Amino acid sequence: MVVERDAERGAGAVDGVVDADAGEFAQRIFQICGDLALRAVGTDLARGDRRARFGHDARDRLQAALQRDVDADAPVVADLDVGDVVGVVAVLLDLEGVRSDLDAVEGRGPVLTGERTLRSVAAEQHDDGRIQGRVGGRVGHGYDDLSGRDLCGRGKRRREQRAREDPGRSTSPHGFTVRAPAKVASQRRRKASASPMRVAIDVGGTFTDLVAVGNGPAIALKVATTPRRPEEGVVRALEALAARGVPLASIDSIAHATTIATNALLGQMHLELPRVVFVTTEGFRDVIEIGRQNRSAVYDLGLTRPRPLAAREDRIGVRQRTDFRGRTLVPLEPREIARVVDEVRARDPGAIAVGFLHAYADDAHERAMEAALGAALPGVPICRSSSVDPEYREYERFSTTVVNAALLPIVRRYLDGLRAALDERGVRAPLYVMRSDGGMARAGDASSLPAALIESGPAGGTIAAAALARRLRIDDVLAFDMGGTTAKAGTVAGGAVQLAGEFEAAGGTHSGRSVKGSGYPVRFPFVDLAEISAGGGTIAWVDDGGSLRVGPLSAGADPGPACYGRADNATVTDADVVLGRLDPTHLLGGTFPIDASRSRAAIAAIAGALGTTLEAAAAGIVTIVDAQMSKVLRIVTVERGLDPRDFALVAFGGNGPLHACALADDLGIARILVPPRPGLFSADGLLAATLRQVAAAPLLRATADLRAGELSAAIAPLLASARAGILAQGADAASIALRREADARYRGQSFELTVPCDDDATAVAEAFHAAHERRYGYAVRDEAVELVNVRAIATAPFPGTRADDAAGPFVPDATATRDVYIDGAYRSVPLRNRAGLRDGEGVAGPALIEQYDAVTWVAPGWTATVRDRDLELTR
Amino acid sequence: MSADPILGEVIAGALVYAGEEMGIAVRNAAYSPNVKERLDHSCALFDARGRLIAQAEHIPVHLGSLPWGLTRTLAAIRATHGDVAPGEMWVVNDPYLSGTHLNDVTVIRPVYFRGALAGFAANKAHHADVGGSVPGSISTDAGDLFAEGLVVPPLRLMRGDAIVPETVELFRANSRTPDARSGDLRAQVAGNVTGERRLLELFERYGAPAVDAAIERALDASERRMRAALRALGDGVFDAADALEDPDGDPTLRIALRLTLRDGEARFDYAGTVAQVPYPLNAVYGVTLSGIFYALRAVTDPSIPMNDGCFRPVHVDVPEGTLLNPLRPAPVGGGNVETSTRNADVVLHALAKAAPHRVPACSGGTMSNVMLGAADWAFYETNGCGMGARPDADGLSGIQCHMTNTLNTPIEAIERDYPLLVTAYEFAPGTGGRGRRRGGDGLIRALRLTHGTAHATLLADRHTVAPPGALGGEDGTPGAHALVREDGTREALPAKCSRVWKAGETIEVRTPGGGGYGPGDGEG
Repeated sequence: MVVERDAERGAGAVDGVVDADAGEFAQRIFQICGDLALRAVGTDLARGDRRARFGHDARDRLQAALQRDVDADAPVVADLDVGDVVGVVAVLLDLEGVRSDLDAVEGRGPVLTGERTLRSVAAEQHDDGRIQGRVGGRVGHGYDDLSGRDLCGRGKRRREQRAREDPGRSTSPHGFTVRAPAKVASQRRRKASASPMRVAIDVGGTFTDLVAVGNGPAIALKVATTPRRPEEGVVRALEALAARGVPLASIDSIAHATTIATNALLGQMHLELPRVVFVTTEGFRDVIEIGRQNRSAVYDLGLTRPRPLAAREDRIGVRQRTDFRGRTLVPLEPREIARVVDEVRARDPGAIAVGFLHAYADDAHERAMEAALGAALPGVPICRSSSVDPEYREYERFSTTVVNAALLPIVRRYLDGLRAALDERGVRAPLYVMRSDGGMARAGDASSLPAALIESGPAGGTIAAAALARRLRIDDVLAFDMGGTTAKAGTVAGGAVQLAGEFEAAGGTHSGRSVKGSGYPVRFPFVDLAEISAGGGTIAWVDDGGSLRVGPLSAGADPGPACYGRADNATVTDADVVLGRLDPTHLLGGTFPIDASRSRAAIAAIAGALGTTLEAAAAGIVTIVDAQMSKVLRIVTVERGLDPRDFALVAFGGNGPLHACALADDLGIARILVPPRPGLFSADGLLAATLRQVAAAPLLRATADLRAGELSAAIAPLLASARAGILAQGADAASIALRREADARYRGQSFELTVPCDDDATAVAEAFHAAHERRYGYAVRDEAVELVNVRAIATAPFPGTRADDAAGPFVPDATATRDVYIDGAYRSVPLRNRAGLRDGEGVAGPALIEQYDAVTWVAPGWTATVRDRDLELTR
Repeated sequence: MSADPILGEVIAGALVYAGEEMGIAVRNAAYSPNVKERLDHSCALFDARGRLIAQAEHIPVHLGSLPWGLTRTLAAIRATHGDVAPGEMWVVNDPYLSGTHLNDVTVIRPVYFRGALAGFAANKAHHADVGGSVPGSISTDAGDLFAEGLVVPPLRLMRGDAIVPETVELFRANSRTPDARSGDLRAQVAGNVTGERRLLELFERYGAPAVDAAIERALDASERRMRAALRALGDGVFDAADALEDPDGDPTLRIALRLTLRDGEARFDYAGTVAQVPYPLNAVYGVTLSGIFYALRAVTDPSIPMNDGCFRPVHVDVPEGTLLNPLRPAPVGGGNVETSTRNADVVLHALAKAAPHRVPACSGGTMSNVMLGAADWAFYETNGCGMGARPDADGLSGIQCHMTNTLNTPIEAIERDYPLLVTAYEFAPGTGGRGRRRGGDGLIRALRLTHGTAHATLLADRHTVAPPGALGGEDGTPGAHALVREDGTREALPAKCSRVWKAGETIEVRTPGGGGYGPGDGEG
């Protein structure tokens, strides 16, 4: 472990390796470092090398502080309680003054474990030689505190109390008490019988986030993602959790969001897609490549199409034909089946997809083909369109099926590998994976329908926003996520996460909307998000018309904004630094150093090209990126027939709380909520997700034509199937909720709206008229309403442990100010520590509220108030 | 007054977004598959002087024609009715005023802010059937505009913010698909209302002076960028010519262009273009402009925000009474499909002489229009063809090229809604021209009438003349039409034909392949 301290800033680290025999101590030191938001390298712990060694000077100091010998190669004392160790560390830090070193050893990546920042270390040397140490820090919400105590204030109170209770107890000259080993042992035992924990692991592009909840405050941590083998990041996150003192065997479920499906389709990370053979109706083998026949970019003469997942020579036409009623026009003869099987076998496929025209109306031919292929090629995964996506519109159905087939081997391999790694480490918990609609599925099910895992990553944020809305009893919230590269918006209306029925996997977006023809259509419900290239790393530039532009290119995290010191790109983060909204010397709660002068230089270049001042250029960059993000919010509200003024804005991601006020002002939103952990909100979403099982079937009948009872008869088997499916996922039978829906439209139209669907066909039609009017501004009540699909949805709470996300301890905060550029001039603005705000305390804007993983800008006219764990901004 | 550049940027962005939102509003509210699925519509915002300030990027053939159409329509309204007034919505489809063909109905809303005219919201959508001699209203032989269908001069669709039912009735009474007419008109109204709302929001929020200044700034910026882009092509005089095939299949309809590039300005001179013809292949001037602006934009810089400023450095001379600038009442039904395509090819050909590394080889060169129907149903689709090979990539197969970009209708939807069975929809392999880079293959699309009788009109081109390859690349394979009877016998059909269609007969369309680029066969 390396812990170093910057005397200026108060962050720091301890240098050394911890001895296995002093495992407890090791864990405590680690935890303390974590608690104090000190960047620690977990390498040595993970490797099992646990020798503790302190630097030369440090050893002397420690020795002096403890009044005992500390042998450089011997175990360090293990019988200090947590408070004592803090004190020791504080003294060390205070007296050491070593510069902070962030780079990991051996490329394993740093383990970021803290939201509590060591803000002040005071050490007093008294005349009699006593050194009294005191640590002031900010304790964030939801982070693990093994002892549940405020390490700073209360530790001191406890010591004073003990001193009062037992005046005879020895007190070391530095003001700390040395405890007897027995106490330590009992603490160890208490920890061993830890409560069951639920763990959420969200694999992102740069970081893998882990959040664990049980009884008591949650533990949250980040490790670096290993892009080529994402399961390694998952395992390391669990190991880091173990290092925090949580026995992995106590985990009773793991909720996981993975980007492996999207990455595979993007051709990233050396994930090789298998050779897919597509078996389809004769005369139509190119439907899957022709797609909708359109160009995804109208003026791009160099346009390309996504590479077909099944190459032309691997697309086999079969002599068969079904009509739209499901009647056979050309029968599928056994000789033809045999011929096709030979053709498929000759290609040695890694996966097979079967898709015939109108198979949603009658699947007999597809089943026969599947059976024959399955018998001839056991072990090769096969999907048929009537099973994967039994809805009409052939291109979208075939595409969904082929994408699913292509992903089967990779996702199966990933989930199996992960399971094996978990088993190896004594983790017996079942693994659940998040799907694109925000529901959770057991890994076994997830691996048979991998196309439903695409787009699950971004869903977590909206799911978490829905849970927050439920907690606060709000019906309508907008989930706004602004990270380093992209800004995303999703909607929760009437308590329900807004879903869309189809997306372009691995596709592009244009002006926030996904572009038809740019990717592979996949028709599963997914959280309807709008996404735009706007984030902290988005690059500002001046075009050859002399206009200031922001994006779409991003500097990402590497090289990152100019202030990272690796390149000169003027980014949104640099603008925020120049304006004073971000700390000029460090990000991430003081642990990530930056150089504001580089921000100023980069922005000055922009200002020069525009002929304006540095501050005006920085303010302009922020204004323009805010206008772009405002558009993204409009896409998921106004364009869906919803009024943003009816919504509260949940702002998260590293940069969301910084830009939220401007967006709310632009859209007429009067209430903003900043969750406890904005930078890890997606992982929180995993914990908040529910089990969800959907069963659907096409109906394609007009409501007026349905006889009494026909609608119920169509839905009954779907209800049974959904219920059985969710029980198989581990749901508790008593807590299953069942819902019925229909996709409806006016006859002659081709876009459907989803409406609740009970047994009364007339009521369903009326619900459709009302929904149509809301969304599109008109209804045609004398027109026939057609039900295209019916659907049964079963949801149930996640089995097992209830998440109990209690707030962390309170730390009084030191008042500070910073100069922020507002409306043409710098003004001194209060700078508050989020953990230092009391429940119900209001902070009037302009103000900055900092925490480890985000900064909230409270604009003039707004007031921020702590409401339990959340920060609420109103105007 | 020097405008705040940042505010100008924000307002300009908001205007572009308003155009996009208009498009979404039209699509959301639309009734018929043409608009909802095929997205055959375009929307734009104009200032009080009728200058284009923002346009959503939909169908290129509407691109230049919507601004031209607005100007001419306003002039006609002012000449006949005095002026526009608050609360009105005007509708027009007369191609000589509104700029394409009778199917494209333009709806215009004058926007007023605090009592003064502040701008216009306008959109244009393809209505599947507006009467005339054939279902789908695009025939091969109409002798004049009147035979093509309902001609609507500028009429009020709304007065005092209320729909004028007589106007809607007029459309319904003249269409084989009356319900879709009123449905789509309603959608077009919704689109304009959205555009108006957004425009007024900007005026309310920032004030008229700031918005006007932002608009001027945005127009000037686009002009600057367009001039710079034209300058980058290099100066010179470049001649190009090509031809459309007449109804007999002969390439007699010559389009001749002289492109002069000089110091950031471009002049397009079409002297030598064939005279207008007595069948529906004439393209009104607005369509001609669309082809020019599509090609310029694609070859120079598609990211330049499309507005009136882009038009300033471009000068166009098309002699009146020619194929590309016909006089009323010459018939124009196929002009904005086939003729506009050929015009785009000619402009690209000329630009290729100026900047060969930027321009692909010729694409299939037809929109392959198929219009089917009877007294009570009408179905229109266009088929993709082979894209010409690019300097550094093969051409894509079976895709909408250049002037069109509509989505196809799913087979499973067609077969539910029409008495049709699709028997084939696949690439026509080997039809792309060989070359260092290969042209894309054309498409095969075969449709059978399952019952009853119907009428079929096919309008395509490049069945006689092969799409040329570029710089030594091979030509693409020409297209072909055929009728296949129930007994299996085949009858070749012309590129442009219209006939009775009997149940059991299959119409087979093969679209042309794209030309190859560069000599040889494959890279290396």
